Amino acid sequence: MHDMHEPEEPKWIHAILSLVLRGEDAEYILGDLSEDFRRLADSSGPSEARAWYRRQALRAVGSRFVRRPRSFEAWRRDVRIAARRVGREPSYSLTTVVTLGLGIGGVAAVASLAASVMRPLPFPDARDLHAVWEIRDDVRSGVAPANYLDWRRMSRTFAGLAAHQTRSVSITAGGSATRARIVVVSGNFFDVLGVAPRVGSGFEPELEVAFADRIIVLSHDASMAIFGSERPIGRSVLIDDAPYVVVGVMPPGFSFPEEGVQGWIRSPTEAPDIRGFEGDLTEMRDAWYFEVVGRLAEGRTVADARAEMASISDRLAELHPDTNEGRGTLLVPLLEQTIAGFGAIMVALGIAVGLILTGAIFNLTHLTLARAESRGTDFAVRLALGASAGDLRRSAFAEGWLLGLLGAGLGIALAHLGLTAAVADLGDAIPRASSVGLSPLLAGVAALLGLAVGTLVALTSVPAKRPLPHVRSEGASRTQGRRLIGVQVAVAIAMVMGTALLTGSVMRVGSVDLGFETDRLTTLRIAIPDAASRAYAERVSQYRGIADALRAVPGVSEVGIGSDAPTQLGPRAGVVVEGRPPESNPPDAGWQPVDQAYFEAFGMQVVRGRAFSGADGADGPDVAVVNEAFARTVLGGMDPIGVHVTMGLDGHDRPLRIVGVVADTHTRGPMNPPGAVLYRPIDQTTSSRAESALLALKWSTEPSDALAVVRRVVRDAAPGLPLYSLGTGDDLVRPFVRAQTLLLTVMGVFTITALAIGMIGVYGVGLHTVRRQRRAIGIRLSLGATGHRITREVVQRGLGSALLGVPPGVLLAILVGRSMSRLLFELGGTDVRLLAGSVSFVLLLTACALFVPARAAASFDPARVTKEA
Amino acid sequence: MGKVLGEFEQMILLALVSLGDEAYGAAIRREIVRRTGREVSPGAVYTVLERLERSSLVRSSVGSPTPERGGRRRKHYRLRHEGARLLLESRSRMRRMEEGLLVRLDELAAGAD
Repeated sequence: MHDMHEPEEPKWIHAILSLVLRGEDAEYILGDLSEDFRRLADSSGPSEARAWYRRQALRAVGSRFVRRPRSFEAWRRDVRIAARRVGREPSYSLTTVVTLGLGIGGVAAVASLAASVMRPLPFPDARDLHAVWEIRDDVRSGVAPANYLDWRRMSRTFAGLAAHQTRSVSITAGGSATRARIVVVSGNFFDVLGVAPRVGSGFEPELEVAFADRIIVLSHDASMAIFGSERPIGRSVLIDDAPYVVVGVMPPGFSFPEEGVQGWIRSPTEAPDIRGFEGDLTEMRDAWYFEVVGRLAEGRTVADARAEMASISDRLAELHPDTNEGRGTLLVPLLEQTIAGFGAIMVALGIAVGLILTGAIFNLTHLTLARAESRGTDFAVRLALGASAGDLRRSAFAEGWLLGLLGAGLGIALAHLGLTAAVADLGDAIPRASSVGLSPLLAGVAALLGLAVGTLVALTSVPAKRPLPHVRSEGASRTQGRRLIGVQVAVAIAMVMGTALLTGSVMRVGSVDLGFETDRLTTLRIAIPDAASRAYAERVSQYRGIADALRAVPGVSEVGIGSDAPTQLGPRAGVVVEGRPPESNPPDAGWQPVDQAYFEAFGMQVVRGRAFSGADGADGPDVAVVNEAFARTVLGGMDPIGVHVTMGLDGHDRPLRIVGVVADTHTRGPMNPPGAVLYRPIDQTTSSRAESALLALKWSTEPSDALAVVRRVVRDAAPGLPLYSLGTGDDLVRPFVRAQTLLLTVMGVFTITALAIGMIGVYGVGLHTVRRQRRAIGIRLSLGATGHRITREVVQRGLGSALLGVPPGVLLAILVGRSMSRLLFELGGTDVRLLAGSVSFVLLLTACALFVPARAAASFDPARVTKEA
Repeated sequence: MGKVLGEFEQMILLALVSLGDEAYGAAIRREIVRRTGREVSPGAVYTVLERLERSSLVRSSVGSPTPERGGRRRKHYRLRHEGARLLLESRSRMRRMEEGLLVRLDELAAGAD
């Protein structure tokens, strides 16, 4: 009778029934249903049997729940009562809702931020994508063309390795030029990323093929902005005055390697070209100027790829010891690369909100306990009027959940506002900021969190099967209070320490001697589109013309021209020092063309020899000025003046005589040591990098509208030329401290929140304690104790509890410090002075919070309080 | 004794009399459906049986699992002496109430006013 085709009862109904039916009857009822189901299936067919089963199941379930129809009604009533009660005790309700809202809001905001920033990259199998860097002496650099081509030939672990280099260019369409970011890429770029143009085609992935055609794939946004069309295939745009044909348009939202890229152009050679460079890129191994992204081959792991790239590097070092000795590769998962360092910020913020939520929940618990005591009479009255213990429990839950949901609602609103504000003000410090927002899922989780805390509140206010709150022992309550003060103090210490570390770090960064003067400084970049007809000298003279116009502005003391700011290294190249045995390891350095006023305008000190002068023109002898780091690391401490060096980029194979040494500037930002830089007179180079120039203005008296003045003068002197990156000296430094500034801002807000929550808690405990002891205090006052003494004792006792929080607080503070040590500058995560300061500050604040209720205790009227029951 | 049995309780107890050794939840339910045509939910049957057992009117014993029940056991019920007496009392009380009234009741039900 038990054959294979035997009909089965509907599975999911059966599952629900098994869940709903409890107790020993469940087995018999389920057994009966199965038995009857089979009989009916035999007699009337399976479908009828299933219908019957469903009907019966519904009834069986119904009979379990409908047995007490009163319950639903009672719930409704409980919610009504709860709402009324919440309204009647506004200070308790408000404190609860706000505390909870702050806690949940912080968690929701940080979780949203993490979810948005850390979400997978929008490429198929994005985990297989890795950025590949060259590395030497632990300093990573871009990739050299010949090395890149060898990687592509030799690697088996990568399905594809694509090269890309982002450039600032002028795009001209319909007569007006705008500055834009475009990416010069190898032919396999889109294949490696796994994203095809939405309209038109991509590029042909052919190695070592020179392309005559200049072709570009536009971003969706650029296509709309330039042509007002989604399919401008075959139309042309001018990129730096050269015509390019549009062959494709990417899907909306695609932008790689950074946000806001307007287009991707196929490099004429497979490795991105160097404009104006006539030599053979396929042989060049000593200029590292572009980036590489690789996709792992099917079934290969990162470990495979690392091992293979290491052996390729070794092989290349054997073949080309001059350039490749000591060079390795570094693989970074693309997501990690994209959110660069933001993970550390997320960890720090995660710890911070965790602490805030802990503080908030402890506060709520204590608040509710304290109130439960004062509500003991209320419960007793309701019990006497015939309410059952179950009734009281239900109403406590209704109230807890109502408060919890209100708190969650406030938290969601705060998180939404906070995220919006953060993206608006600090968006440029948040990677992938355009997509940051509160997701419905997280809002749901926040609501659940609210319910959970509400449950906790309910459980606290009516402990099931325990003596009713009003008979709870005094000792238990005091322990609760002490524990709360301890927890709040611990949380506060950790948060204050975090903020102190960040503040100290940002201040230290601010006080670093950058090697140049940022005050009364204005910098800007001018670009001259790269037309073949415009010779290098012609461009330089146009920059000079603009500089002269600016020099004539009242209050300007000097205007310098260069390729880069002192916070940049410039392109790197290997150096050969004349008179020294050829080393297998030519030390490399950055190099920058500058005019004779550049050092003066930036206030860079000439420490030896001389700066450039009018004599260092195109016809003069080839000279160079180096910085101290160059003298130290490249020249190995030999006297630099008079030494001849050769640098291998842009055809500078002539020896340059060093005529001066300038003080170091922080070429990789204030947090990193200065790099070695060689400066060349702007007239003695034929740099391909002259398509744009940096102008630096030093003011003797800076007008308040300096930027507007500069903009106007440049517009008049050079109409139609793109002017960009206009800013003050501080703007040069800001990008280096963005992450710190972001974290400091958010941490500051969180710390204030945590302190507010903590001190409300401490104050609450203090108030509760003195209220509870008012009779004892009153008696002592009437026996002659002074108010002053009472106040002191209350504060002292509170501080005693606070001290219990110091050791865990210090541990937490160390944890917080460790979590952000990567973001700190010249400060250990466990700086003892800051730690001591944080502890003292929090204890002082705690004393203040205790002082208020303590004063209240001192002013009790003994005659009144001793009479109270 | 003052205890009065409701109609559903009486039906279940009568089904126990009818079924003898074969009285368990599903069988009881089927017996009621067969005799009265009234659909009864299994949950309700057990709720009532549990109440009757607590009042010592029936006693139960657990049988062995059977494949047609998905390997679950049956719970058999038997009428106890007290149950039988109370059922008898309830039935005869009802009959005494009905005596000589059924003809009139028929007329009223047929629509005579």
